[in-house]
Amino acid sequence: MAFFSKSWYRVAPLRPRLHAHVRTYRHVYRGDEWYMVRDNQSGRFHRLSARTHAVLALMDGRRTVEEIWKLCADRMGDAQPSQDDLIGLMGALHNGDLLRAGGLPDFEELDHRARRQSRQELLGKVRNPLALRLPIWDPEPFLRRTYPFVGWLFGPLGALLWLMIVALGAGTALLHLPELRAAASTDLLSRGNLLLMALTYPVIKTLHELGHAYATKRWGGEVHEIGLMFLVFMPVPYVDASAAMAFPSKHRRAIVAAAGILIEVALASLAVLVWSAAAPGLLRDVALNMAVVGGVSTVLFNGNPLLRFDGYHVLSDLAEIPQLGARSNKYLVFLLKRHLCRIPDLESPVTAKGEARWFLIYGLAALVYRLLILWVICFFLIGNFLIFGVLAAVYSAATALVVPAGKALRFALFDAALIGRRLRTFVRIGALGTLAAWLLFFVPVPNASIATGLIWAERQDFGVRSATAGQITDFPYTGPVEVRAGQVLAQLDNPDLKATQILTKAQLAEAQARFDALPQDRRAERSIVQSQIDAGMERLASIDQQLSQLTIRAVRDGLWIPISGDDRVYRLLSRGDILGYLMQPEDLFVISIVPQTQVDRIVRDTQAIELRMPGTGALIPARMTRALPSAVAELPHPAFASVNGGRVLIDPTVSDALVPLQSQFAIELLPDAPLDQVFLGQRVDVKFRHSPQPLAVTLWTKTRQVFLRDLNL
Amino acid sequence: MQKRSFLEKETPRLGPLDFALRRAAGLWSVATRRTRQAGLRQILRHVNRAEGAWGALDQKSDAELHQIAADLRARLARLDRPTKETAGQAFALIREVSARVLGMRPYDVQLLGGYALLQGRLAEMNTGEGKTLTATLPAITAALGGWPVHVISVNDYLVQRDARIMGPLFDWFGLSVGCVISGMEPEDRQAAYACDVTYCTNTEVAFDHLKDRLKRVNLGRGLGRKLQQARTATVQDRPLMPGLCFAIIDEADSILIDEARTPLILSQETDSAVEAEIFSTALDLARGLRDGRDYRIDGASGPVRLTPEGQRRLRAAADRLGGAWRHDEQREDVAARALTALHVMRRGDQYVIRDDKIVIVDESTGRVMPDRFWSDGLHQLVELKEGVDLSPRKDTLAQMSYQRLFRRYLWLSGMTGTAREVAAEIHEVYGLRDVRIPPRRRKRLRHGRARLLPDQARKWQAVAAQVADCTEKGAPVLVGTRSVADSERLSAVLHGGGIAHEVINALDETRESEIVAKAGQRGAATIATNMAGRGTDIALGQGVANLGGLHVIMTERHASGRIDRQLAGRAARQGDPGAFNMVLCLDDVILQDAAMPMLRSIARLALGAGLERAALAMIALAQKTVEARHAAGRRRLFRSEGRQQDQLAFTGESE
Repeated sequence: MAFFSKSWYRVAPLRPRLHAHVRTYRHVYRGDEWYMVRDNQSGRFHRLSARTHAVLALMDGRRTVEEIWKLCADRMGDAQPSQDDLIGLMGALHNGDLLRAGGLPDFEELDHRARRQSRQELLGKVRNPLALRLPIWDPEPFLRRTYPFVGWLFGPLGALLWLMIVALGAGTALLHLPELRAAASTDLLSRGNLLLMALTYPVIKTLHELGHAYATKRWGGEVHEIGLMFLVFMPVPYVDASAAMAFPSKHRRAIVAAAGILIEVALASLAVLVWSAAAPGLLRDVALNMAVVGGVSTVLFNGNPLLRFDGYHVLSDLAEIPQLGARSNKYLVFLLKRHLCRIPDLESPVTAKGEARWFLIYGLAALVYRLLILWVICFFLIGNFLIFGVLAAVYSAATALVVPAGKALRFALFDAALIGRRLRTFVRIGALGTLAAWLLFFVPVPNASIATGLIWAERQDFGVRSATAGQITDFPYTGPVEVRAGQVLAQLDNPDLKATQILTKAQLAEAQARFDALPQDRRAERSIVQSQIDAGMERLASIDQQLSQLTIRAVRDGLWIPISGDDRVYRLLSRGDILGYLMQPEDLFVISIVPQTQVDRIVRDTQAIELRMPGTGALIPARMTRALPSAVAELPHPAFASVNGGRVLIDPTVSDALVPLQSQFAIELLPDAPLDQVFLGQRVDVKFRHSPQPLAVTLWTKTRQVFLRDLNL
Repeated sequence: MQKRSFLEKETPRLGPLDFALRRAAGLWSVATRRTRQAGLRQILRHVNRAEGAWGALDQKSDAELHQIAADLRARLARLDRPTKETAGQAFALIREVSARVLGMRPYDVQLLGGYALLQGRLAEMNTGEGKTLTATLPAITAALGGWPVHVISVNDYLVQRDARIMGPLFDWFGLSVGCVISGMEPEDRQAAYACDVTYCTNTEVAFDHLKDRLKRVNLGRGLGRKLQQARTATVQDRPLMPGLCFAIIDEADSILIDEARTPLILSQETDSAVEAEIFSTALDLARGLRDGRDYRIDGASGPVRLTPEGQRRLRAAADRLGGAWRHDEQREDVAARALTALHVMRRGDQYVIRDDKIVIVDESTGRVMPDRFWSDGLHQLVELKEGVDLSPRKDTLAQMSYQRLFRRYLWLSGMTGTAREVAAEIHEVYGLRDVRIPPRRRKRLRHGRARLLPDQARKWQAVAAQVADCTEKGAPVLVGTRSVADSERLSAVLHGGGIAHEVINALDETRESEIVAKAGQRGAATIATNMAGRGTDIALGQGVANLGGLHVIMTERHASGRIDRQLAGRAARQGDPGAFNMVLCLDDVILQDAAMPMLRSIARLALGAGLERAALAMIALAQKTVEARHAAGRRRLFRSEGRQQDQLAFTGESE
């Protein structure tokens, strides 16, 4: 931008004047005054600084441009716009049909301009077929007639009502969260529901758009276009609420932008209420659909400020940064040009305090998000519609990556701004690129595979049970401990048994006495008593044995893991109740299931294995003992299956067995440390730590895994 | 058929797609150039056929030939453009008449060249193959058909020379010849342009057209214009020329490419009392700034940039000065311009002082441009710097470029000896397809070994030694220097060595033709700027051919290889022998102009290590860099024009 323009001679003698119908609107952004002028040709708004507006005010059709410029010099001093600025402004205003430069209009030029306009519109459609706009209807008369009926909704009463509905809805949703989630994950994806969804979706979106339209009307704006927009071939209604751009209050602009979301959230809340009250049936299903579409889609898409939907406009209005997205991108480019290319005298897109930070954070966040979405969409498309998907993915990747990259390359290679600093720029880019490549390709980064494991044991008889019923009187160990054979693990007491012993002893003594009293010749009687004595002796022996069993000892060396609970002492046990586990370390192992895509790496290159215990989150090292060379035909345990909360998808066509959908391999692991408080069949997360490798290799492996798994390539 | 109203081509506005297509077409046209050469040969057949139909022309009397000419004229007048047959007849006739009137009978290759021009092509003919005569073939053919013809050359000297030499030929055909050079009055110009064939320079035709355009634009469009014209048609308002009809551009690459970036500004004088004070203050301020600390200059002629330190110093000074100096942008703009005047503009390089006036020297032709002024105060700043009288400030009235001017010709053709590198660009911008005309005789130019010396002083010594060497043997030498200052430096060195020589440069143009006439004599030594480049025909003296002909020494690489080759083309003309070699040094401007300090360092290292060829390659690379940069600048200008027109749409029709 030169201060003096070479074309000034053509402009200087003109006497420009704004057309009579032009209106300007005063806005305040971040403490600065700006003026919005609507461009009658494109419907867009020009944002003029207060300075520029003051210049505009001088264009009365009597002063020449030269005079205006000199007046500016007197009045504004250093703030005087440059000649190029002024010519650019007049050119833009003229193209927007806002300015007459004096003299007769040049009809040829007008014609040329109109042709170019229509050609550009067509080109825009061709260039972006994924976001076609199809105007359908001018809703202004309809809105004007119906506004009296709904206008009150956009006042305090409406706000109150909205708050109540949303509070109730949110509360209900929270109360029924698990049910809601279950219903959403099962019912919504059923085939029959798709039709229902297709019917409710347009209704919700239409109400959404009407929300924008009425909100615009609320503060005097006019809405002249409603139509269909095709976002990735999905028809979505849109409304042209650009009249709201003129509203001086940022809150009003924000409300117009947010009206759609507000309506959808209210609808979703109402739907939740209906859903919770209604009996199963069509009404309930419709309500569920509305709740999900209104709630989820709003939060994920419309409300997400990183996408250029309603949420973005709300954010942009409230932050008082118009064109946040476009200017953020410009700012990032500006930063690159300034710091990477070191181009001096660049004009920063920052026009107010605090904008730089917004631009940087928003620009980067939106960029990362866009790339992420692109990644996901590409995989989705390729995975679902092969040929067409690849084409669509290539198209979106080209527009999102290749075109900007090509532009950047062209700039780097040919742009005049780089003359004299191209070599240095390339050196800098090269250095950065080398650094990035080094980090990506050469610096090893720790990485790991995660799988599900199950605590398991080869032998199943390590439970220590009470052989006799009784009450625990002594329980010396409360936690896992190494014990030797014969060591007392617990002491039980059984008063009944003791009483029976005494009784039996007494009976035995009595029988003995009777036996002794009987003469030798009464053989028959003696033999009866003798048998009674024998039985008594036997009983006593049994009782003695039982009594001895009240002292529970370790039958072998091993790890004693007592049962948990505060009431362990004095607890009453029946016969066969478990007191704890006595096991050798090698008894307990973890069996883990890993998919085919990962097994190779796990077997080949595992530096360390960690088990993450559920609950405590303790990390226990482990080592691999056995990897089965072939894939498992059936899951070793139901807990691995996704239907039971595991990670493995089950082949739904096999009904009587848990056959994994994709090949899975079993790997057995032995913990290196005693497991604390474990239960057989308990799930643990298993982390196989691989030797560190460069990030690029990891990413490549992961991508390949995704392709192998999802695309069956 | 009415061909003589105000005529020119409407140039369409071009969009991005148009530019891309044109670029592709340019590359395609270069790729397919061979096919066009074959098509050209048909004209020889038609010429022979015409001769056959009329019977041997050299046997006919003048009266008979006049009768044939009259028939031909009637036939041509009925055609819009001459057909192959009529062109063949015309060429046959012109060949015979030329032989009779001028004593020059066009060779076959000249017929081929003439036909290429008639087809609206860019004819690429070797230097020294007689382009002047070639141009008369299409000029007469078109003029007989009623087309006003402009034969456009690069300077007044060539215009007058060509018009004088070829005048009798046109006379014979009853065609009037006009000649437009600088300093002519409007009435004389009108008369010259009204002739059937007008010899003129590119500058004159551009400004005359601009003046005409301005008159028309001021009148407005359509009906309004017609009414106005009817009411106030005075001599003053009458256009200078009937229109832009058929142009034959000699040295087309110089005019269409090298001059493309020169803005043509029509201005009027205003008083400059206020500005004088501002400018002298600006110079004072600028003299207080130091290179590197306060400002930096990109390349030898690149833009001046103020550093933050420089801006700070200026601001401090401005607080003292007040007034207009308080405005940051304005102050820095003027200061940067003052710095340009001080450090980028060098006397004897971009300008010379003549009669206490700053006179601009055209970089590519080496000639003074007395009517040309730098804009935006730069001229006044240089005047203040040199302490000459301040010229009045010029206010721009109208502005245009050669790119726009030549695209407006209804029928355009050009010829040059050096088009290879720029053929694609010429087609892209002007729609001229190039065609190579085969040389009549092989060039007998010996390329001597190039030499590279570490600094200027040693370069001039080396050149002087070589000149002495040649003159001793008796061979004439022409030494080309890049600037006026260089020519004087070398002249001083030769004087010191007692070597008799002549100097052609912008300081004294009056003896140019006299010196050129002697430059080919035995033992002559001539120093010349680019003035002795294009179009200069140095005839060899008696016995010089046996001594190896003219020896051309180039002392610096120019901004483009084409200018170098033009200089080399002064030797070995029309089948004579000749020699050419370069003597360069590391101080050469081209190395600074490339704005790549690394190139210079590498060249220095290579030279130090005895790798002279590698160092010379660096200088060649620097030249390529500069060429590419200029080409990019021209392309940018070409593409920005439409954009600028759109932006300035509100100001009405452009000039």
